[in-house]
Amino acid sequence: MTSKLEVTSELLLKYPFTKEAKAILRNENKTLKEVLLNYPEIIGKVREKIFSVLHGGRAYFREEEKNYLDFLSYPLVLAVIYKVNDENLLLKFAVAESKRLFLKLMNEREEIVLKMANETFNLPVLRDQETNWGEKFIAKKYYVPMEKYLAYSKKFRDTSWKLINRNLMKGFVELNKRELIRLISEAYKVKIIEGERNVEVPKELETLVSELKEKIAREKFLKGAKHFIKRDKSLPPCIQELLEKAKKGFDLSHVERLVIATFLLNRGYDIEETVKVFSELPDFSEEKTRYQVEHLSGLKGSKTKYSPPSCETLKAYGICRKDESCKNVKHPLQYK
Amino acid sequence: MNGEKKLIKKFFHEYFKKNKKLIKYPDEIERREFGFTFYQKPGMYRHISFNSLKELTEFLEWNTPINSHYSSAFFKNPAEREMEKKGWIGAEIVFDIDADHLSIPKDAFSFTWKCNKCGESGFGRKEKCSSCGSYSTSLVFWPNTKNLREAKKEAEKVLFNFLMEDFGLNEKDLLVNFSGQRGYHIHLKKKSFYKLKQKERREILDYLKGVGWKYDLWFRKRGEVVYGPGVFDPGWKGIIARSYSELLSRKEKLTELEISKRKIEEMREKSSLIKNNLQEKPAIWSNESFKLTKKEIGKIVESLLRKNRCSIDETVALDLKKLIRIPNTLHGKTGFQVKTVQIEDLDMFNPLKEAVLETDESVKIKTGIIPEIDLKGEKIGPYKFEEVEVPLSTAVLFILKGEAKLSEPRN
Repeated sequence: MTSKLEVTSELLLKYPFTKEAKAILRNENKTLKEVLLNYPEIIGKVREKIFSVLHGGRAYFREEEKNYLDFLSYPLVLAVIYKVNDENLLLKFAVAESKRLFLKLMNEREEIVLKMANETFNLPVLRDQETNWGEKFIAKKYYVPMEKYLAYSKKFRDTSWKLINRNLMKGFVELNKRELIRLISEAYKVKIIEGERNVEVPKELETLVSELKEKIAREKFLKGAKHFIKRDKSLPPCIQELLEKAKKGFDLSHVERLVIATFLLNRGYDIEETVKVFSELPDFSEEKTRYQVEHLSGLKGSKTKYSPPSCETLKAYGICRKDESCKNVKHPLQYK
Repeated sequence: MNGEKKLIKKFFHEYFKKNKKLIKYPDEIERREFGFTFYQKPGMYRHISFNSLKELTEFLEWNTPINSHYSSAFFKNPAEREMEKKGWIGAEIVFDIDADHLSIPKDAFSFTWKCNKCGESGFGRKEKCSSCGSYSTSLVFWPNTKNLREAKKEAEKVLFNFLMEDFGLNEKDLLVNFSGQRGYHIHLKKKSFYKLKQKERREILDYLKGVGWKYDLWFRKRGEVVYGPGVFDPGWKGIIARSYSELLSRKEKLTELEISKRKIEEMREKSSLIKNNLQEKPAIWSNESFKLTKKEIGKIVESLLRKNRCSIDETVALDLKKLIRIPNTLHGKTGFQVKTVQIEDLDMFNPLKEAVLETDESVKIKTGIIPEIDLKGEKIGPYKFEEVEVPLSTAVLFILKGEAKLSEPRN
């Protein structure tokens, strides 16, 4: 893992956020300003990319980096997004980028993946040959320090990520390839979200920043008026919090989405109303959401109407926000 | 100043004067907040900071706080009053193991009670006053060898089965203290854990408490055979398999598994077969010669989880800015030492011997109601409104509990 790697520039073009890529950018174009000076057509590219993120991120997500221009545009896109300073846009960008990285790394050479994990995301990874627990596993396994695992997997709510369902030994958590790459992609998302936001935006891009700001403010206003969730005293605190998160455009986990949808459907919301609740989520796709909500409502698939999980299950998922108002309620639907 | 107050102040002052070298924590002292309480003064004085251990030990010597705490957290400005201004940098994780929270028999606890209305008092635990019928009674908790032994067992389980084995922590990452009254504090002092926030700490806690296991992730069925956790597996899976295997070796214990008597009978007969299956890789839980249903397996795992999980105070472990007792200071409700115990000495450690201060002096006191206590290997009490002469540290315990007064004024 520690062996020096010949990193071709073609490889770096794929991963413009790595240390090495940043170094190249620094060498060839000292500042963002100079990039713009040398490649004026890049402004169009930046604009195009951000708008595609704003409109659901799907187009952006599918598009492959084709040339040097794409590579160069990366720090500019990031700078503009930080400057616009809208959490929802930033999250959409981070989610789209992270999903893209996941797909790329799934087809990447192992040594590149491990090097990136270690050097760019400060996530040291051991492989089974290097671990010394005497046991050999049939499938290839990776091991990451538990504290890093906890920090990066905290948003994952699937029970398979709970530590109790993992092989944990001497402070290392065992992962398969897919899980390791999922963790790295999440680390990338966190890095984008928690990155240094005080980046200077070149003058040439300031118009784009204000255009985006205005557009986002306008859309927020329109949407806010359209489906404002009434503060409802009959909602248990857990559901209340989830709905607020959804409204603010948090990247809710699969389970959290499931809880919201099943709860609302069982409380008499129709498909339309339920779908709308998710419209602020960074990866919202109306078509997909509708399909899933219809499925949960019993219209599609197994024809069974699903119930939300019990309080005990919600507690296990860390969703429960029990307070005095819950009294002895054992299931969110019992809440009055 | 009354005689009792003088005595308490002197006791604490002398201790802090003589034992400065024992106060070695907290590390990174200038990043910590401190909080103190004083004898017969309400409330805690907090948002205090020190620049060095010397400043701290001098403060202790001259101000004689009866309870001394520091923040598990590191702050940029620890003396600021508002949290935002303090600037949280990170925090140790503290596991609080408290005899109160363990499921142990009630007779392992010593209580006395007092009626807040009529002043009546007595031995044991009473919610309703036997004299005036009022429900306003207060309980006094007394140190008891039995429940402290259980608390120590629990601390050892947390340390050896989980923190050292699964988490891979070693002696230098861990600090263990007798909490001074009813349990132990285990501090996790590994820097790479300090930045973990509540959600990650919750996950650690869930792990220690055995929360969130899922059948489909632990077991898989191939034909008639169900494969599951084996005795050589790491983490919880291994703990469950080994615990199951242990019950199979001590057959009378199998009733701890909440499954049908008939099944347990079958287990007894086939115990060596089942044990062998648990040693397989992958381990076999059910096959043609010994069948278990999914439901039965679920019940076995649940029973074993309950048996092996840790009892830890959640609020302490989750609090990112908890004030926790400074190791080797004294506890204000007992006068006992909040003693640091080396992990290798824990096995032999008896807090009611080693955390009770050695004193030559003895004191004449008038007691209230005091149950029998085993202190320094000697049985003391029970007392009921008696005049007795006891060692100074015992008198301090009784006075701090509010159950003794000096017989004669002292200088």
